[in-house]
Amino acid sequence: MILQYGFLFQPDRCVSCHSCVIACLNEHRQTTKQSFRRIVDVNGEYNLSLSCNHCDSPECFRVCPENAFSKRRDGIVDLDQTRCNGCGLCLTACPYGALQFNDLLKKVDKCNFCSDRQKLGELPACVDACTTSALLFKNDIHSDRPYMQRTVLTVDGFYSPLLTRPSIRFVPMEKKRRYWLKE
Amino acid sequence: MMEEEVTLYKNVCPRNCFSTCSMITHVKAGKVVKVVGDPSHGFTKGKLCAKGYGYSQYVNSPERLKYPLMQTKRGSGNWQRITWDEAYDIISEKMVALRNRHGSNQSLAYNKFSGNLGLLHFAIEGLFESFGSHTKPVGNPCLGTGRQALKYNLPFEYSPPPEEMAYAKLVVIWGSNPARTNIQQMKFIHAARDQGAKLIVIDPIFTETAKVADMYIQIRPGTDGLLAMGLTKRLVDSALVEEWELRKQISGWDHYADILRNLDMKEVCEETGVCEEAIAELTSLYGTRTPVATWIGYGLQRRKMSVQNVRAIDALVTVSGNRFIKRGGLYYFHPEVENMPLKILKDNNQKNEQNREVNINHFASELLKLDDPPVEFLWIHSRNPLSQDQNIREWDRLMSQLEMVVVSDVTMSHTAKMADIVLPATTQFEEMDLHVSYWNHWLSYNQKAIEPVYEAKSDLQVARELAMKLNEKQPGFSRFPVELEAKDWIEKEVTDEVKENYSIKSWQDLIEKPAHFRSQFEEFQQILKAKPKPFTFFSKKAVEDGLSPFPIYQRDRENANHPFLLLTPQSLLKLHSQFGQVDWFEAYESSFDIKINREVGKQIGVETGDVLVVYNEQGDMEGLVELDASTPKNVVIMNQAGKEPVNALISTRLESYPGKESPELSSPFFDIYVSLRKGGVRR
Repeated sequence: MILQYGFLFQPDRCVSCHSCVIACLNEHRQTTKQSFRRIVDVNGEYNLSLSCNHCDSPECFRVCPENAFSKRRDGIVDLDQTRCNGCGLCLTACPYGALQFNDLLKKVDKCNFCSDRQKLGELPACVDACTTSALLFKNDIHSDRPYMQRTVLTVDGFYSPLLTRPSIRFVPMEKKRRYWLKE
Repeated sequence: MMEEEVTLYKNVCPRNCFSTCSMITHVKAGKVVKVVGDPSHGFTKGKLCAKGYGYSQYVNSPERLKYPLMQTKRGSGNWQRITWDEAYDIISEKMVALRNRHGSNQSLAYNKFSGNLGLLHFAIEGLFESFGSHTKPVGNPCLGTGRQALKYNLPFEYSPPPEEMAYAKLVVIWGSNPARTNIQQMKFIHAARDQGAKLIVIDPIFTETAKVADMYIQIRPGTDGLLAMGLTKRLVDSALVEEWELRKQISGWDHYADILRNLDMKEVCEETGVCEEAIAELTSLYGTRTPVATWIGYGLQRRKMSVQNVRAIDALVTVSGNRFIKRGGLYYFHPEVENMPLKILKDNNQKNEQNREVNINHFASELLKLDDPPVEFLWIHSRNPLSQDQNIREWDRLMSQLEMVVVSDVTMSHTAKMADIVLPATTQFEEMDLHVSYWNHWLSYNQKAIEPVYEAKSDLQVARELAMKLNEKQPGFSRFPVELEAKDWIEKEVTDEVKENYSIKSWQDLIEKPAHFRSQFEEFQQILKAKPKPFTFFSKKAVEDGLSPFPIYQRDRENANHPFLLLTPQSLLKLHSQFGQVDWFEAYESSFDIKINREVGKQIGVETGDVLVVYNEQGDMEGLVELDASTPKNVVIMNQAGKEPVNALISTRLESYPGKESPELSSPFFDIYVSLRKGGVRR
């Protein structure tokens, strides 16, 4: 079966605790010094935790002169580092800035959705670490599931999904009441 | 190539934090390679905070102290590696000489607080107890004021199991930021919200917790008690509570009702900065939702008058009918560490001599005053007072006058740099221990996962070996039972009472999974029922302590010399001064040191990224400033544990209450006033 692994993200749950960011490093510590995940503060209003979105039409895949990227049947955008020549075209092509340059290897590096963990039936390290359930894993992100009605393809602060069709959905933020100091 | 096998161990994070997480440690070839959460712990539920996920770097850090070191001339940086035997020789020689010089052990003192909360870390205190009367710190600089406040209103302490917050219909957080300091709690709060509960955050700072709250109420620092009174007044006015019932339950109710009747709501709004609409909305939530979980944060009780603020919030919780209620209640502090037997400390006080006790909040200045005999030897462990205490300048003075300073730590802390002898301490991965939490109700066992890194030793091991050395030099100096190992102390600590409380047959049950304290709810409910008017809104004890008898707001004195209030919350990826050695975190630390309101920045002439100088009589500190729209205009925010300790600006003697210095009260760390000026260009 062809699947599309993806992330379901609830900005209303994310408190920028960085557990996902460091858990990623903890998982991939042998090969990188940079986390594949980062927290983006959107106008001081809410946070997004972002990594590679394992897009349906990935720009990295399109621009790579060495054809180092592949799209797997489970939807993971995989990078074959033996092919990477470190040219860095993909780094600027990705609208989400999701790729890293690995200084140790002098090659591009990226989130592989913890495919080794997934083989063992475990969740990606970042999702496993998320104590607020802001970041969830879905087997087939855009298929018809109960959560579809209450999720959207993008929120403010996230690059338009039209170009690359990223494998992430968002639970829209609720309106909050904020009473600022009367000074 | 065959991968070397990974062995799993159970560890407990011993940091001074609400969560006391159970962790699973992956060990390969004798090294910690990965640390993750332990799903068998009902509060942790298999998750850790970012710091926890960085533990493999913490334990393997090149910054770890590897060997005992001796510094010739304190503070010179002239360090020399010595053997443990040499260290014990030098230390014991001095201890014996001082005892003989003064005919007493009171010139020997130690200082310890919360660097490692493991119960076996009381071993050094146990060692000092085994000498007979000595000089020791007492008190709690962190959360004592709030505890005392709650005791005026109610004679016993109870903070419910925090997992139950998941069933509340309203969660109100006053002055706490669990997003940064108690991340494990957020999942229970979100679970409650999934069932329709609302989350309210009341805080002067627009924290990450405030960002996700259904309602955020920004409040002027130190005025929470007045807001609580306003809410209580509105509750009574709107007849959302029954006054005849309150009269039956609360001694002093009629007086308090009078005070509320005379409360001018316009003044409440003006002084707290909270508008009438917010008060109305929160009143309606407190009055119509049940059960309500109210959480009073420690940040709220770090000012001189905050004892009254905590009392007033507690009064609101009581009046709204939520003080003792299933799945709701008041969350503050679970005092379990005081209820544990602490055998390693108490069993060693065999001579039952009275120690010379020193208020931990003013330790350095008090120690300097002592004579007959003066303190000449100081042992500091599980603490970094030269970074974290309120009176750093006094500490510098003390350090320059002592004959010997011994510091044990994991890395070369600010305090260790001023020692004569530095001893490398083990982390939780290298020793056996037992843990309770001051928030959740779990008891957990910490396995030894690896051998000590380099020559590090646990406090217990040091206590045993030093006791032997002392007794060699002077037979009978210490009665510390050197033959007992960590396992033996854990076995002793898990007494029949502990087994009953935690429903375990033996301590070994804890290897499989942590154990939860039995429910105390019914027991406390019975006490309440048996007592006529169990809640006290007229406290004679408070009057004796120089406070109002009533749980009413009393305004903090402002500082005429400096217009800005300095708030120093925790950094995200540090805990106090700990975790600095984890290089993974560097990329995620804020590049700014100081945060102020944009309009204040404009007046001073600084923009985000400029150098700002924060100063008062104690000195000045400069850093990169970040301007924002939400920080109150009279507030300066500097996180703890920057490159230079921000506590240098607090180097003054502060009273916990007006006119009162009790070791049982918190250090008023948020009662510091500063001025600002634009700094020079940074190279």
